[in-house]
Formats: sequence, C-alpha cells, structure tokens
Amino acid sequence: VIEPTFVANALALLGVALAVTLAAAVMHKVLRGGLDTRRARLQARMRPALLELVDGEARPQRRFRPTRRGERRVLRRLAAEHLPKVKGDAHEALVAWLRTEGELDRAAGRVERRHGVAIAPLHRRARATHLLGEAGDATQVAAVVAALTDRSRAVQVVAARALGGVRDTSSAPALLAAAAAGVPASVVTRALLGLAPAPVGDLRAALRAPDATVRSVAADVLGRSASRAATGDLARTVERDPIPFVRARAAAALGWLDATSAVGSLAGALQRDPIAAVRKEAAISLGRIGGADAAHALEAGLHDEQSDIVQAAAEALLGSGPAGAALLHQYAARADRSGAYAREVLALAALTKAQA
Amino acid sequence: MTKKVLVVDDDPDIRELIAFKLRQQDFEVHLAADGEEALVVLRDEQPQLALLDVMMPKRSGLEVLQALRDDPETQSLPVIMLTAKAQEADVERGFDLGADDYIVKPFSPRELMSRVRAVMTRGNA
Repeated sequence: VIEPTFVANALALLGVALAVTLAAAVMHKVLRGGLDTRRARLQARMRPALLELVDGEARPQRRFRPTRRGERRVLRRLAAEHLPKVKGDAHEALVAWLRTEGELDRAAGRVERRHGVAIAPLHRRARATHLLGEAGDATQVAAVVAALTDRSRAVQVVAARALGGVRDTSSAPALLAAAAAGVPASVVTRALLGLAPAPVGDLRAALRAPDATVRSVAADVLGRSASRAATGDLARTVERDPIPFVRARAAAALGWLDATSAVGSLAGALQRDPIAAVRKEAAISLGRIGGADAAHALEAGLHDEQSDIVQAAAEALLGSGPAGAALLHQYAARADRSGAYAREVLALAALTKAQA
Repeated sequence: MTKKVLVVDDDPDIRELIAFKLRQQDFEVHLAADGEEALVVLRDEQPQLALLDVMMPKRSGLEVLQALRDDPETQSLPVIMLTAKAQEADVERGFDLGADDYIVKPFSPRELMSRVRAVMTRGNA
C-alpha cells in the first residue's frame, strides 16, 4: 500500500525539479542571448578597425586602438575570419597583426600535444589548425605537420588542407604518410599540388612506398604537376606495380606529362595488362602523347576484347595526329567490330565539328 | 561628380570590404545581397559600374548580367565579375555575356581598385 503522503512528497519533488529545470533553461537562454547581443555589438564596434587593418596601404597599429581585452579578442576573431577572403597586401597586413597579437603562436600551442595527449578540445584544435593554414606562415609548419597525426580525423583533414595553403615543400613526406594513415587521398593530393616547388624527389620515392594509396597519390601528383623528371619512375610503375589502380594512375600521369619516351611502356600496358581500367588509361594517354609511334601502339587497342577499350583506342587514335587519323579511316572501311567503332568515332567527330 | 558603384555579393564581409575601399576613393557605393536586390538598386540608382558576384541566391551574377545586357538602358554599363577560384569556368560565360573584367576571390583590395579604375577609364573613353 502506498501512503498518500509519499505520493504528495514525490509529486512535490517532481514539481520542484521541473521548476528548477525550466528556470535553468530560461536563464541559459537569457544569458546566451545577452552574450550574443554583446558579441554582435562588439563586432559592429570593431568592424571599422578591421577594415583599416585589412587596408594594406595603411599602418593599422597607428590608426586604431582597441583598448579592452574583449575588443582585441573580437578583432582577432574577425581578422582570422577575413584571412580566406583576401590576398596580397591585405592578407599580409592581417597576418602581421595576428602575429604581433600572438594569435599564431597561441594557435600553434592549441595544436600541440603533451606526452601524446591533446591539450585543447577538438573544435579549438581544428580552428587553430585552420588559422595556421590560412595565415600561410612557414614558421608554423611544424605545428600543422604535428596536427596531421591528431587523434581526430577531422583535425587531420584540416591540417592536410592547411599544409596545401602554407605551400612549404618540406611537408610533403608528412602529407604522404597521412595518406597511408587514412586521410582521404583526394585531400592529400590537393595539398601536395599546392606545394611550391613540387616535391618531385619525395613523390618519386613515394612511387616505391609500401602503401598502394601513397603510390597512387604520388603518381597522380607527379602527372598533374608536370614533373617530367619522373617519367622513368612512372613508366616502371605502369610496368611493374602489383596494384591495378596504381598502374592506372601512373598510366594517366604519363599522358599528362606528354611523355613520348614512355610510349613503349604504355603500349605494353595496352596490349598486356590484365586489368581493363589500366588498358583504358594507357590508350587515353597514348592519344594525348600522339605521334606515329603512339598511333601504331593504339592499333592494338582496336582489337581488345572489351568494347570500351576499343572505343577509347579509336577516340585516342583520332586525337593522336595525322598518322592516327589515317589509321582510323583505314579501319572504318572494315566490316568487323573495330571498323564499327572507328566509323562511330569519326561520325561523332564530324557532327561535333559541324555543330561548332 | 561622384561616381556610383553597385557592389553585389551575398557575403557581407566582402561587400563591406569593397565598399570601404571604394569610399576611400570617393565613390558613392550602393550594396545588394542577391541578384534580385541588385536589379532593383540598378534601376533606382543607375550606377556607373557594377561589381557582381557570380554565385548568389535568387539570381546568379550571370543572370543579372544577362538582364543588364538585354535592357537598352544598361547594356553598356561596365561590369566586373567576382568569382571564386573554383568557378573560373564561369568567367568565359561572363565574357560571352559582356562582362568587362573579372576578379577571382580571394582578392587583393589594391588589385580590385586598379581594375575598377581601369574599367571606369575605359568606360569614359
């Protein structure tokens, strides 16, 4: 039997708990609203100062003086937010001011770990890493590189992007290691492409790395950054790498490099590689390189067992120059499958030309 | 006479920054946050130059440019397009539609001002 006083007490307690929760929620909302309003007011007050700061022709330190700590903090935040929006003098002026304010050192400190343990919460580490990248300050590369091994994948990705912004070539090995550790290959590729000058030596060495993703990223970046010194390494990768997608990337890279000396390796891949994707990339690259030797090599593609390779070879032949076009016209007269594809490619090209 | 410039961008920071630089050079600046607002301001204020962001809500910069070129009163208005790095393909379309110049974001305020002066000078010639 439940006593009536127990029920009354329980209900009273529940009522008090509800009232306290409600009061706390209202208080939180009021305080939050007050803070937001104060921040918005401070930001509005600091905007003229920020604009003078962004004005690369001015000497901002003399022209405005945010006096209170809160004002300087808001101005630092605004300056950091404007970094990705400007370049040239304005960017340099913002970075210089943030440096004198100690904001870049503070950001580097937030990214750091002590005894392997991150000392700042995730959002602060990510924001700090982003700021260092936007600032493009080469003196802070070590801090951003350290963030590549942060325990959070999100911070690792921000760090990789940041390193692409800082553009310091010395960060290439760390970026390649990040690809092996699971940072998306597309992010690492973009970051590596941002480095100047292109880290050709590190990328060539990475073509022999144990991790297939690293080899594939290296091949991709070498091709896109027009690193002709890597032609021999890429040709060897096409011939010998055990992983098909690495061979395919290397074959594509040779096409971007316009590597006439690699026609033999690409011809071999087109004729003998067991994976269709590799044969297709080899055909496309032979078309890009062009010339009589490439056209001769592409002829093998017209007899491939897979129709998409035959089509790729026919398209590549047409784009490979006069010798390839002549060969394609010869094939167009044939009654077999290669003839059908040759006719289709020629008809499509004629239609495109007429439309243009 | 003070020259009027219309700045159209959905990013208030960019609008404010460009307006600040233009006002330093004694331009009268009018602002719009999207394509539709831009067309209203263009009709009301009749500026001598428009800076148009490509990617905007409601109507894109390219659509606004098309509308400007279709209207006999604004077809010769000098226009500078503002485009993000990733949208540089839009530049070609902008030129096809009659844009006078373009600036890639992030931009240098100093470079922007020299482009504005150049386009204004060409417009006066």
